[in-house]
Amino acid sequence: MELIKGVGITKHFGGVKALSGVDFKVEQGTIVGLIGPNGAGKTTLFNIVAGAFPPTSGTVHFEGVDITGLPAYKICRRGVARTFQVTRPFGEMSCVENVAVGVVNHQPDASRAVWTQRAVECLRIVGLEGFESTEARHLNVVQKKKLEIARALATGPKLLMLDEVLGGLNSQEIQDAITFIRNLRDQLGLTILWIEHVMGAIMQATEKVIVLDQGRILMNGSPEEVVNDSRVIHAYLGD
Amino acid sequence: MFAIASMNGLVIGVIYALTALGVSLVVGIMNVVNFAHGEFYILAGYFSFLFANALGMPIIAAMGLAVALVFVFGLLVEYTLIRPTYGDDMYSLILTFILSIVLQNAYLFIFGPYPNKPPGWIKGATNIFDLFFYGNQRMAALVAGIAVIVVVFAMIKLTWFGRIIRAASQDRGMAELNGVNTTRLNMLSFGLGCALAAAAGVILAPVFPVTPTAGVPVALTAFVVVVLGGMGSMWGCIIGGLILGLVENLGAAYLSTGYKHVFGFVILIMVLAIRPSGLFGRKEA
Repeated sequence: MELIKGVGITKHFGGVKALSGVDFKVEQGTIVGLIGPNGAGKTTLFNIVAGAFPPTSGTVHFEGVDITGLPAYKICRRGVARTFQVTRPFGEMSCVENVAVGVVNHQPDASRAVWTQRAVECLRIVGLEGFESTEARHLNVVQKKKLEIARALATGPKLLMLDEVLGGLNSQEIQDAITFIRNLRDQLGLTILWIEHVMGAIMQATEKVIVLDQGRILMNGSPEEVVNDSRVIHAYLGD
Repeated sequence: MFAIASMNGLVIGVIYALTALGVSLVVGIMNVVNFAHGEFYILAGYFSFLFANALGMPIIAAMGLAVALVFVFGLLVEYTLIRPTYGDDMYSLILTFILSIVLQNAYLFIFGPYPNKPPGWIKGATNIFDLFFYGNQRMAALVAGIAVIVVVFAMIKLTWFGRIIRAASQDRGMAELNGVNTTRLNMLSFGLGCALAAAAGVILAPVFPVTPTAGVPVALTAFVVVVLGGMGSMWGCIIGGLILGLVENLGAAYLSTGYKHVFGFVILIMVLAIRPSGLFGRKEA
């Protein structure tokens, strides 16, 4: 069953066509990579799905329901969460408060104790136990990325969209992150749509890859098919 | 003279802090500069005067009702005037400026140019450490002002609603992606900002009577305090308000009453020359 489906998504910024007629779908319980050269429109697609801005035309369906143009908080409450390439923690709040913002809005009727408990649990899942009362601005880059994922998890997502979570990590950290992301799918049952430039990670972790180039779908298929496709190599390396 | 000028400075400083907190809240969350802030302050003064004098309500009830009504009026203003302007800060700036002129003239039309004053809460004066006699009403205003500030601080720092407010003022878009209904939050925080102006208004109205244009210097001072203390900093509002209140009153006592408002701006310019982001402001990255 497809969890999310986009049909004919087009987005113009003034005269710039960021996306033209993009069709895509992500099956429930899969990890799907979204790759493409810089400026291909990957982050624009994320923004449209998450509701940061509506598409110029086209529709997005989540669990079969049309969510095109809904405000971001409503899409979030339906179960779509995303992280940012450049992390955006609430710097002057503690880690637990950062994560709790998502919990409070996901379970508004729960008690304070439940909110805190759930926030602490999300921090534990990403391996930030011990940092509950640390202000987010004091975390290092890797920890901020983990916090970003914890905060996304706190909103109770069905679809988790990751925007280049591996940038700036060393090879050991990348291995750990791949295992972690696979566990999110295997143990928490999440569906993951993942923008990434680290091809090794895409090869290891994903079942399907969507390639965007200049605002269009270039192809999609298994990771092996994608890396061996001449069009993809051409898009990345040119003539 | 020093003691009594400081005391006056303290009272007015707390009121400045209270008004500035309202401005700061609205700027921090909505990025809207409310030029009608002073008119909301005056509106609450008129309401409390009306309820207490004309309808004969007990003054405390009149004050509570006045603040509640201004809160509702604030929600209404956000819904009808501010909400359609999101995305372009300039429109809301112009709209609130117009609103301030409209309200001033409405007050003039309805209440006339005369100063109106709700009844005081308590009479008499107290001898402070054998130094001077100070009006009980002003001392009560000081206590009430501090009490409201403490409540606001507790709400922002300790409650979950406060945490969401802080999250939204640090990164609005991210808060929305975490499921915060920012449209409703905007409405609430605008109402709350107006209610804080109203609280300052009802507290100070028995001391300084309300006139249709008495809100203008109050709002101007609140903007000075917010910039002096640093955008988005609650402590900045408190310290900035106190500094401004004290400097103005001591300056008026020792130098000249005519230049009262100049002292505040001199302090502002001095602080901004050394710390452009204000006393407690976050440095822009």
